[in-house]
Amino acid sequence: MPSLIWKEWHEQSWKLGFGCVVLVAMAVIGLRSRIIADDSMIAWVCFLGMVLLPVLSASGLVPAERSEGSFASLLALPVSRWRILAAKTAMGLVLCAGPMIAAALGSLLVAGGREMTSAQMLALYARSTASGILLFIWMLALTIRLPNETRASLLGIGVLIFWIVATLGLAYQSVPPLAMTVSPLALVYGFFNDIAGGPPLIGVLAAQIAIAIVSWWWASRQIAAEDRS
Amino acid sequence: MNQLRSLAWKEWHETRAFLWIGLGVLAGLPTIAGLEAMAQYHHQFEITASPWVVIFGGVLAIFVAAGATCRDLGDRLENFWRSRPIGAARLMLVKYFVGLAVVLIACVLPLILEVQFNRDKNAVLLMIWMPFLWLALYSLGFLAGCLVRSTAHAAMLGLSAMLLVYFLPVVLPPLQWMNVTVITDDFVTFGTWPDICTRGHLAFAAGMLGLAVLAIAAALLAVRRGWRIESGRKMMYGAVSAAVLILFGSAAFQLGTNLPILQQIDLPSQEWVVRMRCDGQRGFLLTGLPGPDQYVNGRAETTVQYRYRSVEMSATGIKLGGPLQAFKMLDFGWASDPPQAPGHPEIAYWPAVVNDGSKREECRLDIYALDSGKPVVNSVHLWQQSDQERGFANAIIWRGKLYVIGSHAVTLDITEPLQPRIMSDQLLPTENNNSWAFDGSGQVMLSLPPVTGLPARQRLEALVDHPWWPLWRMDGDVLCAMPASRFERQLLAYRLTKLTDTAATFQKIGVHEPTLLERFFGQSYYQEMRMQNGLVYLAIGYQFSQAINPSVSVFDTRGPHPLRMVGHFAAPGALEVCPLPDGRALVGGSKLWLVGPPPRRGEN
Amino acid sequence: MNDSPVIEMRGVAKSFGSKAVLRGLDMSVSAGQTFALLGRNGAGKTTAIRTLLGLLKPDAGEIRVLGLDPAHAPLEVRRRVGYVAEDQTMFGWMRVGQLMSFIAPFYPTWDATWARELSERFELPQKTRMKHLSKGQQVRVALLLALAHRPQLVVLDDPTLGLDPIMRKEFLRDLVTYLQGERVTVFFSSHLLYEVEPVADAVVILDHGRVVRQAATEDLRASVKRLVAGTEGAEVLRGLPGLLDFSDHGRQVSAVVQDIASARPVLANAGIAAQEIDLNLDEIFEAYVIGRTKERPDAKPDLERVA
Repeated sequence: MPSLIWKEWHEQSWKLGFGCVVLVAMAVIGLRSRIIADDSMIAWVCFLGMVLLPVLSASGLVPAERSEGSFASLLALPVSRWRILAAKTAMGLVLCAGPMIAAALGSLLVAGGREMTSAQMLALYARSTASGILLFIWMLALTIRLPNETRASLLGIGVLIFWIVATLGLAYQSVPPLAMTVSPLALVYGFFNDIAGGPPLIGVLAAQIAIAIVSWWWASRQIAAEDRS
Repeated sequence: MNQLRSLAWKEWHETRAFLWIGLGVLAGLPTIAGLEAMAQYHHQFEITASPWVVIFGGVLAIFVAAGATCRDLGDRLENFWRSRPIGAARLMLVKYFVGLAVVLIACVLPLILEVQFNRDKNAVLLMIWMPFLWLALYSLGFLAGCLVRSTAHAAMLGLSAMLLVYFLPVVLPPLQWMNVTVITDDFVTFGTWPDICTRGHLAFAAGMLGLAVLAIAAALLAVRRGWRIESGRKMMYGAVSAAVLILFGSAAFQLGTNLPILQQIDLPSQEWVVRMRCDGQRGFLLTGLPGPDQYVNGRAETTVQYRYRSVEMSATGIKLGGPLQAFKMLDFGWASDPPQAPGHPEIAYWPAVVNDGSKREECRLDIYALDSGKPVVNSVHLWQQSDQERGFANAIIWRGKLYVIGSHAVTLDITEPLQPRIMSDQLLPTENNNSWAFDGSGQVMLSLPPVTGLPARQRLEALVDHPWWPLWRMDGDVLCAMPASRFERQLLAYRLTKLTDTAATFQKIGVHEPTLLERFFGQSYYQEMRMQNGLVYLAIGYQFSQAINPSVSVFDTRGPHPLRMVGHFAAPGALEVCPLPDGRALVGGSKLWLVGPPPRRGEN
Repeated sequence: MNDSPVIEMRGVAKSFGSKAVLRGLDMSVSAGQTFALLGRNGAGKTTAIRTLLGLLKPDAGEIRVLGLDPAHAPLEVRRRVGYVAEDQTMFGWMRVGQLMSFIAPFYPTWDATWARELSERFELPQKTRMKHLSKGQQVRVALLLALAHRPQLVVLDDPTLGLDPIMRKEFLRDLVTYLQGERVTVFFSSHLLYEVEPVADAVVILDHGRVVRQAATEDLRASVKRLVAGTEGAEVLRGLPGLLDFSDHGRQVSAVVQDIASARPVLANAGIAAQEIDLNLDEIFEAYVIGRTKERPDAKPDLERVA
């Protein structure tokens, strides 16, 4: 397992660096220059992180390695496939969360307490990171059998658009608030909008964690079923 | 000919999937939305494809181009067709035109449907000029594919190029003629036929065509000579990130807050600034905060409680007095600035025109004392007029007297500010001034009302300070106007060139159109304008407190390029602005800020 | 028979960056022959072939293919040449019939009847997409495309790469059957020498971008021999003209020489009795390529014109 994680780290760590540089730069430049109000700026940074990081992580972990041809060799190793997936998932979580954490720290340093309290800032980043991670799990499960990064990225974008539209639809007054728990974007939506009578945060988290576990289990079954050729 | 047919057949087979996907998204989704709206609202069927086409047309162009080129430029497949007597230039040109046709059909067909069903003339504008943009983007994507030869990387490079095509003309003024908003900005909201062909459109088309020609020429050269860029993921990520950060950094440089914050005063929770005035030494601050709900006809309505605070300015900053309960100043009109009693900024005079339901209107002077805890403290009847006459009146204070000018000109003595006394009443002839006078025309002449005892300059100031839209403000000999003919606020500057006893003549000296950058960051929906020392301050206004990204922008009317943006301030709820004579300014929203003057910049 | 060579290369050089792949390549191929271009991986075979088709422009030297300069008239050369590349990839989505219809217009001499006949003989399913064909079938399709326009010259760049032994034999049988009977010049590269030997009229041995030997196959076998003698003959064997390889086995020494006719008098004068051993193409190739590296790095190529 440590070898697997080492391998994933070596292959993907440059993306972590890129993500951190871009998000931190946007947060710091935007907050320093105050183009727009701090809460809007941070919302933009969170949105970008939440949208881009899951797509790039999910498409770059399994489909990219598959297109390079080394995934077959990896599956042929005498190691259980769920460990392989676990190592990739762990790296994906780092890729989704790392840049957001870095951007949060940068934002706190530049503008903590200026227009938003530090607690509010951290709450927004935390919710966005959580939503991003949940989206990543969705994308990982759905793209795990795709042969290359391009198709995986397109499907990832499709998943994202689906959940954005679905979340807006679930927010209609005629829809029972409980239905919002299925959306990985519920955490972020709830930050900006009062979901009157809606499920509490803990309910949303519990539902999302359950969905993530099922999704990950399904992904591991997909990998296990793959031909050992 | 057979060879061309053979190549075209192959390209069509390989590219047609994009056509179906493109039509599905650009025409199919709007059709579904139209059917849904028809079922839900019993409207006639309408299809709104233009937003989809404008946003996704460029993306489609990039993906088609990247896919088409990289497909046949992979090492082994390229080896196959190159080793046949298939001219590289011929193959690439057929590929180019077939892919371009797919993009144009997928993007134009939905617009045709929109014109057909909605009778939307704006879609005609898009149909004519947007293809040039798609041509340029497609060509750039084609070039990216020929150089990089990896679909994903070419797509990323193409999207970076798309960002630059959209935003570089915004951040680099010499390229503004290539700004895509030249096309999208010409939408009108009143159902009139837009200008289909202007010089701006032709310049834009020429620019895009030039870009396309350069790109395709470079692409053909790259394929013939075997030029390629060894692209890895790192390079692609780096290219996209660099493009985004360059654009973002440029935007930040252009629009970043540069008004130095001298003092910040926190207001109590949920309180926001509604109005503030200050003459540099004394003034007032009116804030609002949500009150208890009241039920009207069984529906809950949120009330607002108002608070009045006195403001005193010193060299060190603001000093606020204690809050007093206040009442909302009704119907000042969101564009007006009622005159304040000299030395008593908390006392305001508002000439209200009231219609009692008959054909007669009463013009009366309402006196507000904001610190009294009451609404109107006194009213003075001025005159009666028919509802066919000019419906509003302006007021101005000059040399201790208050002049109310409408269909009559009434002079009042305001020695006792709360008890004004009528000194004279003069019937005025009907004016022919058009409230749309400052709508962009090069020269404007305003007729001045013949008010006895009031100099031409003061009569002009009274005329300018009318309470309704469009917004006019004057400072010295410069007048700024925000005409209401466009949804996004255009700012115009005029200079007074001639003032006689009967008329004032103005010459246009500057225009500011909100750029794409400014609109993107929500800086174009200004409702509030103030002028001081040749600077124009624009703010959102408290009525639009829910606006995204409220901010204050400062424009300079001086120098050889009037209406150059020189200052910007963004903060949550930055709604109201009050410039001070010493160059500082008060900005009010969810907090109160005292900001310094904008930094002086060198002339371009 | 037309005496002018079908392929002529003089002093052809090609580098990729700082890496020189072809260094003054000289080669001449006569009409109607089956030529084999032999060389190790990285010797420059594919690069040489690509310059023949005008896919690469040489940095120096002259090339003539069927009297045309491929650098200046590449399309004309390709119209007259049939080509099967190493590990050929074609349009995966096209069906066999569609691919034939697509390629046909580009060849003025395309013979549709002959193409159909080849398709039947090669047992190619017309309605199957290329990506669904087996490796052997794909190679056959590539061969069909190379032959259907009745070329004067067929260039095959390691066409049997990736095929199993049976497939390779069948491919070469098809080649021999359909090409040699038509007196088409065949130029193919390979590193499977035991397969080349039965079909090649002449061979060209390429090493480090240079031709080290060009000769008729029979002449090559007749002139290149291994000499085995006792250790007393070591000095003499080491000094033989045209030495390709020398080995000391303890009690015996052996040497491989390019031209046995030149070596015999030297041995006779020295009074050394050496056993002459016939070599197969594999061993001859090895001697030229590996022997040269160790023993004779500056040896000049020995070019023979095949009548």
